[in-house]
Amino acid sequence: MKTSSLFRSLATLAVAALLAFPAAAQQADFTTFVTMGDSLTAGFTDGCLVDYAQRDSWGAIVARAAGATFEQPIIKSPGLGPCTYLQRLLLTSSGAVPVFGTRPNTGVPTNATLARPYNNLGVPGFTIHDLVTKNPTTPAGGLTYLILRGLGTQLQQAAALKPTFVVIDIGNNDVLGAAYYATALEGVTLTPMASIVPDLDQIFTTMKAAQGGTGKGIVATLPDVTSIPFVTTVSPILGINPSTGNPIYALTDEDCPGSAPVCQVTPGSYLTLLSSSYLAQGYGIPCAILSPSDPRQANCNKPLPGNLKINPSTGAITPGVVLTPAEVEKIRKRTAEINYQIVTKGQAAGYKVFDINGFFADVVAHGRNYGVLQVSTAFLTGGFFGYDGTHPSSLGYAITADEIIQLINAAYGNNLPRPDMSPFLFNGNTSSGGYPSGGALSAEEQLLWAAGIFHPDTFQELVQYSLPEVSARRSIPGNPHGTPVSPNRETPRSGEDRVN
Amino acid sequence: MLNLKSFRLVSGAFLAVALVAAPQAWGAGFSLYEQGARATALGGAFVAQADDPSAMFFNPAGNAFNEKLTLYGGAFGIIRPTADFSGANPFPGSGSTAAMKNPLYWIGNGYGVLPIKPGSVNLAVGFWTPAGLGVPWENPDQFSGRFISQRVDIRQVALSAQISAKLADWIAIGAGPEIRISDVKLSQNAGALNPFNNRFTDVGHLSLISEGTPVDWTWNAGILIKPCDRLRFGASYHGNVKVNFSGTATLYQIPTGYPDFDAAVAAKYPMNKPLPGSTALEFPALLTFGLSYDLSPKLTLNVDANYTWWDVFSETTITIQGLPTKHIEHGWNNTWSIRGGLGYQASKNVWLGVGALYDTTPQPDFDVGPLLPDANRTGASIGAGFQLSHMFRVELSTLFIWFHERTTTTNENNFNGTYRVFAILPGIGIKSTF
Repeated sequence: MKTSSLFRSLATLAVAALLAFPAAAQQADFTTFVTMGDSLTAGFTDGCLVDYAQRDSWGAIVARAAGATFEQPIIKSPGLGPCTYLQRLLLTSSGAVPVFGTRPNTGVPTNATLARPYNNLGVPGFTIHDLVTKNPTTPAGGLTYLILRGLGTQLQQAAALKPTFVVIDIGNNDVLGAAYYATALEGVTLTPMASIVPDLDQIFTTMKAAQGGTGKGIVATLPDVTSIPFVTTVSPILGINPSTGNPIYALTDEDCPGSAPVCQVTPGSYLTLLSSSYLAQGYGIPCAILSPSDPRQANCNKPLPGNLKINPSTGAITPGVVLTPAEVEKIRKRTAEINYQIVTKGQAAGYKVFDINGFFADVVAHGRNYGVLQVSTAFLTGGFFGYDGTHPSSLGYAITADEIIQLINAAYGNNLPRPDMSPFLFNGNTSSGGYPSGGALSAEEQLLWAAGIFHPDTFQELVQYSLPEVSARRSIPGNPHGTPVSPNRETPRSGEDRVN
Repeated sequence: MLNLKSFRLVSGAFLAVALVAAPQAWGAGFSLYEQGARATALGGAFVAQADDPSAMFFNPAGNAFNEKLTLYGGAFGIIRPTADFSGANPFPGSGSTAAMKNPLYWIGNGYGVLPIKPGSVNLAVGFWTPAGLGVPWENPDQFSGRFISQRVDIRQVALSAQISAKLADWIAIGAGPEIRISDVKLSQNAGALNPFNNRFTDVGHLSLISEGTPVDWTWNAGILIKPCDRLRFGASYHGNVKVNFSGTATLYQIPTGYPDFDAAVAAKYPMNKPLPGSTALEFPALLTFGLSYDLSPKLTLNVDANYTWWDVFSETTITIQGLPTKHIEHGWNNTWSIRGGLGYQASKNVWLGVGALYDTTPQPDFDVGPLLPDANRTGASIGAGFQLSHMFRVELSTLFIWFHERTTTTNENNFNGTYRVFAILPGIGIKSTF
């Protein structure tokens, strides 16, 4: 080859390389990968933080796909929460009755001496304001301390890591309390926008600066928390009046006409999972539909608590269990307001948006089909959610991670491999031995936990006899979150000790 | 007189004789095109030649030129050195591999031509196997696609009586009614989420077997034109058939080791008892046309094209009493295939043939799955015919079929991966002329 030809060739290659460089530079860089958020980011499931679930947090799955280092505050099994498990499934004339148990609340951290912030900084229970402000410095801080370890707020620690790629999923607890307590109170269970807006500004400004002036990563919107099994599983319709054909609704003390102490719940209302223990005792059930010998006669015609109640002497909070259409509307409105701020501020800072709200709505509507095995958001039978009815299972987190990976590939031009769903479907997770089965409960514990909480048709699609069926091909997942469900728990934790 | 029961027994016997089970259709979709060894040696390009009794399938008009009572019987073996699947993420996962079982299958055919007016008008009676499908997966209880299909077998045989007539030295026609006898078997596992360990688990095995032998009618016809000594044109047509299957399905419960869960499953579904079931399949019409040209007195070139109306296979509905009705969308497309062959009369008693074909799949990506993984295919064939005596002739052929490697990313059940199939079909035909 002549020298001039060689130079021309080299010059052409150089120009081509320069032209190609900008595209390559836009790819997501996982040299330092950080995830920020709440329980959903932490990999919380079944009401607890536990190693076999944390290892399959969505952040961990994305990190494995990217080959990134991803240190997490792993809590050794049996976890901290405590973890809920299914002990029995009793068949009754009214349907299947689950009997839950809890594992010992004795999990210990296994990665507490890491000399830097964790890559997964998700803290269960965190609101947007918590992410900016909370920094417990003693073990009294509970899970928050175990994760943040006095090294600074979550925001400070994330910024200190100078992440080359960050995913921020925060805000769920700013609306979830309204669903958990079945009470939508501005400033109490719903965080005011006046607080949220400056906190989001601080988060994006800080992270953008830590990343060299432009946000590199993803920010997630909030799902509709009124679509999670914690809210949607228990039917407010107790039967059909044979003489009128009209539905018989559960009884409540909320929004009753005049000053009536008891009335039927408003059509369109939801009963949270916490209602199941009341219903099992007869609360909320018209006496007329019970046989005279039914032990629930003792409490029939008494209302289900519609809204939360605070004990004036102890300050203990008893959640309500009836979520009225008006309350649902308030929660959805606030969710939309927060999402608008997340999207506009996040995009302005340079972040791509993961629309969890749309993704989760799609999962609720269509589920996910893997070889005709249908994953849905149905409680216990769907696979997407864990036993608390609020947090995803490892399978749900994997579906979420798959969605995030596809977004990264589409938005940044990466080619990260999508996760293999088989271990999640057939093993419960990717851990050796898979998802642990439950243990034994005493007879007394069984009575405490038993509750007939299902729709009569909950098991309608239990068996997927699977002559191949056309099902919509969807993209990916999102999720909800909140506080673990304990049908017999009257007083949820508060403050830093709360796990959600 | 043959009553209905006897007729069903006879037709069932025909089905068994004609088609033990085709492991996979060797024409696109689940059609079969191997109905004669001589034609197969030419890549199936035979519509304008049609000079042996297998003309009943390839072109009914071809038998018009027959002058003597002629009988023909043949069979094809089907061997699959390669028939496997490699999964892709997210499901069934890049570590998932599977293979189809590979027993020796065979399909058969038989034809007889009785001259009514020798060399001018003939009656032909025969059977062949126009369609078949067999996709049995190895280790069916571990196969990652077991909830879609562990095994499917569709068998069909055609019986026909045709009249062929030479209208003039340069043109002949033929036609007749065509009876299709079919059966179907399906098996798969049923899965459900075990809420005790959060794992999808096998909770049942579903077996659906059609009963009786549905008999349905269609028709066939052909035309053969010889504008000059060296050139022939031909065309043939086989009509479509919709077959309604009814039978028995049984959902056998598989214990999971969790008694409460098993009880919940058993309470919800009719386990371990026969359930009436039904489905329907529509088999497409087939049009073939082509030419045959004598390049020399000993060397003949055949070129054919097939057009198959696969769009009739758009959806399958399976109804089983006590279980949700299943609608399976297929969305198949009409297809073309091209065939070519060279025949060489090496000596008075020895004939040689070679051929090739290219067959396009009617199956869109979303429908490609464990139930039927179809693909475009390229084939090559060789064969020979030996005139053993003035009465007996034997023909041998071998067809090699390469299914083009097919990787799916949009399967409707998100069961994606790569399918690879290579097959060899040795065939034999014996012709007796009286």
